[in-house]
Amino acid sequence: MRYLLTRLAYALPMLFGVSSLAFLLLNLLPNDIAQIKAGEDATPQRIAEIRAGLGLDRPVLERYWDWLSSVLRGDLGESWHNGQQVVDGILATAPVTLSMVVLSLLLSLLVGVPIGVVAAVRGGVLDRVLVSSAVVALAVPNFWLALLMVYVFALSLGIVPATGYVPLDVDPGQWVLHLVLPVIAVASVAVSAIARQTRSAMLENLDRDYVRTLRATGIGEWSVVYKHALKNAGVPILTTLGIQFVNLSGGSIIVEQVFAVPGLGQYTMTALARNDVPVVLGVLVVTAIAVVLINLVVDLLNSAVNPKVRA
Amino acid sequence: MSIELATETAGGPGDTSPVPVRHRSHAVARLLRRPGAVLCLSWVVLVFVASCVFRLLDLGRPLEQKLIDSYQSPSGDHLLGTDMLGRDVLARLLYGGWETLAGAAVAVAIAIVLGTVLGLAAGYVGRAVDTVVNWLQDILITLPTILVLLAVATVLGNNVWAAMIVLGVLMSATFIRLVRASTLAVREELYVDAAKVAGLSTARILARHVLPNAMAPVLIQGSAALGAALVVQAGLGFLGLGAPPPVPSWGGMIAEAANAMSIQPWLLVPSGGMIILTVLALNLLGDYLRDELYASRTTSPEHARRRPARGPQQAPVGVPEAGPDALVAVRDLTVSFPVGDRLVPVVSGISFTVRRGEVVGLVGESGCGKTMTGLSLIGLVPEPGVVTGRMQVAGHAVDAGPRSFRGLRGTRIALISQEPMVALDPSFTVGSLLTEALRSHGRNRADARTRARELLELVGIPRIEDVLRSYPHQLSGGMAQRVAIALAISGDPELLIADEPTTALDVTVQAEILDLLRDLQQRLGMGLLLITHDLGVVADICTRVIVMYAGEIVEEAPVGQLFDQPRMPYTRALMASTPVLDVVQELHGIPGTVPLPAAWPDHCRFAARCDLVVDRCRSGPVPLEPVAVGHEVRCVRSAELALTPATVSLETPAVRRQPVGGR
Repeated sequence: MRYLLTRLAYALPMLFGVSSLAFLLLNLLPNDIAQIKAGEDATPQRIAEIRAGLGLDRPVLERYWDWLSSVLRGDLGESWHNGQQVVDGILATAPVTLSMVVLSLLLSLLVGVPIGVVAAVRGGVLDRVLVSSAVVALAVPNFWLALLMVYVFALSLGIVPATGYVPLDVDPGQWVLHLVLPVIAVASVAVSAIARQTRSAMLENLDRDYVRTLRATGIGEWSVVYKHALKNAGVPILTTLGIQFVNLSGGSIIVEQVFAVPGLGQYTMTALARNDVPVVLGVLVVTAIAVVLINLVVDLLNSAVNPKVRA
Repeated sequence: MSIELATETAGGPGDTSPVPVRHRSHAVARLLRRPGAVLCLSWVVLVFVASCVFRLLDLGRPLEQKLIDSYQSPSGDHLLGTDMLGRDVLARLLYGGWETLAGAAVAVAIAIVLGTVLGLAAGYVGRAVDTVVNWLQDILITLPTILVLLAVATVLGNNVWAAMIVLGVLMSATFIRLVRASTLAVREELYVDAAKVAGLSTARILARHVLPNAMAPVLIQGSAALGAALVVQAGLGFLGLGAPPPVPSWGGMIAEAANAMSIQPWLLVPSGGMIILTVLALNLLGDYLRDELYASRTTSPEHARRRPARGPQQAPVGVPEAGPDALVAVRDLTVSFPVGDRLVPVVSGISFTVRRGEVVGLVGESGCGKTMTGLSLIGLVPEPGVVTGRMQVAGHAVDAGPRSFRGLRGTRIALISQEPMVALDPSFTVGSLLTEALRSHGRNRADARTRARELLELVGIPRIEDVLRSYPHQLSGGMAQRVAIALAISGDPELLIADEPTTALDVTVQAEILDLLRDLQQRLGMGLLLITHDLGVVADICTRVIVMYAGEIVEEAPVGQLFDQPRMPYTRALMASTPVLDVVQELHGIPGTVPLPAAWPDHCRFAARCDLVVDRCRSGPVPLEPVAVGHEVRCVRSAELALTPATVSLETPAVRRQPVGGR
């Protein structure tokens, strides 16, 4: 409990820092949004009108304060393009992205951890093959892998649809079919990252004195490896899950474009094309909040696995 | 390759010895001797130079359209085919390579500079700066890169350089962490203190002493960061945020390939292949660099397995001529480790027996093979060690393979290690460790719980219920060693191997643990093989002593006989370096150190350090020969030594003191 509070006490200023940084980044960059929105040959009067309309004529600090206080009330402003509440836009698209990210994270754990364990425990040729594959997989951009899979499984074999999305509550079967390729593409890098992490954590632990003690005590090899060493190796693996979450979110933004999945990525890209700053800012802040929360959860999980953290 | 099998615990060939950072100037040279590294480096340089040439000489061909030639497959004219507008794909890849590579380089350069400055400040200046920088770094890690770059593009439009600058700032987080860590590590070093005392300015200390230490991790990470920046850059290009057309970008070319996928799927290959190969080369370079700069075990698959060594194929199984009361009998036991392409023995052909109820001391300095001898008795010599010889444990002939020890460990033979604090699994409570051990010896759950309490009581632990619920890190060293002893005797072993069980403990606790061991040994009637370099301990509780030097047994005798009439100069030297309270004496350390296993001579191995050395000592191998009943010595001058009194004679019981041999 005390631990939870200290982590929370750390997370709150983080959120403040992240959102401030995001706002200032977008508002201090040396470029005139009003000019862009008005077009190349707009009259200065028109530009001034647009600027006043967006509230950009007020000082940055004043706007910052307004924005921050409304964010605290759960209001991320409204789109410059169509007046839609940014919160509503995010609520409509975030679940799609979130399900992709969570599924990819699960997939990368389910595949990456066993691969890492097998590589560490079995050694030899198998280890070398797995390690080399992981190194190659790390170098493949997820959107390229996505395209390759579209070509093979959708265009050539026709097993799965090439693009599009069907919500879970409309047709669960179609939902799965539409998400298979995107989720694999997003997870690919995380799988090899987690496999590498698991492998080195397992090797390190199997080399520790406590493993020798367990073996000397007569405890079975299966228990030594899969109960004791794996539990200890879990700590560094868990710690990187927060970072993996950030990477997977970024990955899914791009992969969504390949599959025309209507998630946060598409929402953001549309806003980007229209210079819709409040939308982009909103997405950025919400994602950062999600990351901070995930890190908090990871910390708690960590304290559950690792007795030293709890103490 | 140099041989670095430094201690008896070194578990592998020379390049895996625990030397933290190797000499840097040689690292680059070694890197260039590895074909893989050269290949990776050549690829990166080739792509970069070709891209520069294409851009600087403005070979306009990539932008040239020739619609008749659209979507051609690879041919002599167009090595990688053409795109939808009939433009040569290879030319476009190289032409666009400049933005991609230079952009990534700018991002990484910014990340390194910013990370180094902030990391140095955080690690060197003080707490307040450290807190702020840490906070900043956490924020940078929290921001999702792609989203931030999209946000920048919303305001600035398509601007590759702006994106790369922002990317550099975001990526600096990793470098801040690396530089901060190595700065903190160096800051406490003596030579930095010395520089401070000498009055060097902070800037000069940082530049001359602190920075060089941080450079190795930064270089390794930098290579990987370049790859990461390339992928991000390609992602932006794919989203249409790369260099504005008609200038090609690698990511943009993938997007074009995606649009033409049903017409000419080949186009996916060159664009994607270029990115994959380049990123792969950069990542591998980072790995190679890490291998060369650090003596890393985990990155090289050759040294992957950490299981106990398997027995050699020709493992000669056989029961030595041991009596019925022999708990352990070994003949010609040899433990070797591969160094380069040959096997170097760390224990060479030793034979001994431990009988029921006996307390045998195995003594010698560090590096004499004591620990490996002990581990081989329980089948736990680490890979890639090779064990040969004949062995009989508790009446069972065993080959050196771990499988043949399976039924023996814990129940017939058990082990206590040197450092109790790391010998217990940190993630489980004492109670669950003990219960699991007991259950693996065939007890049911309830029975195991009861027995766990009895065992803790037996090893003299107060507040048993609290300790059962404790994790190992919550115990003191002495407590942890008592728990380790409880664990070791949980299967009622007939022989207990105690490998320097008190070395890591406080002096006051040492005596308690030894008393406990002696008490348990007598109560349970176990045999005890006590590995130590402390002759005081030996005099205290052992009945028989085996002295090892450089992988060989050099003297073996009943304890009284050994202390009264040591016949081997090494034994005498060990005694002379052991302090005894009630005898006024001068202490003599043994000059020199135990030679490394690869440097063991084929004559008397102690000759180089021996006061009494004569020519005969160096004329060939010296056999271990009996000089009295139960007393064997490996020395050509043992007969003469019988006439001269030992420098010191130890009264039993002697008072234990800090050993001199060192660990």
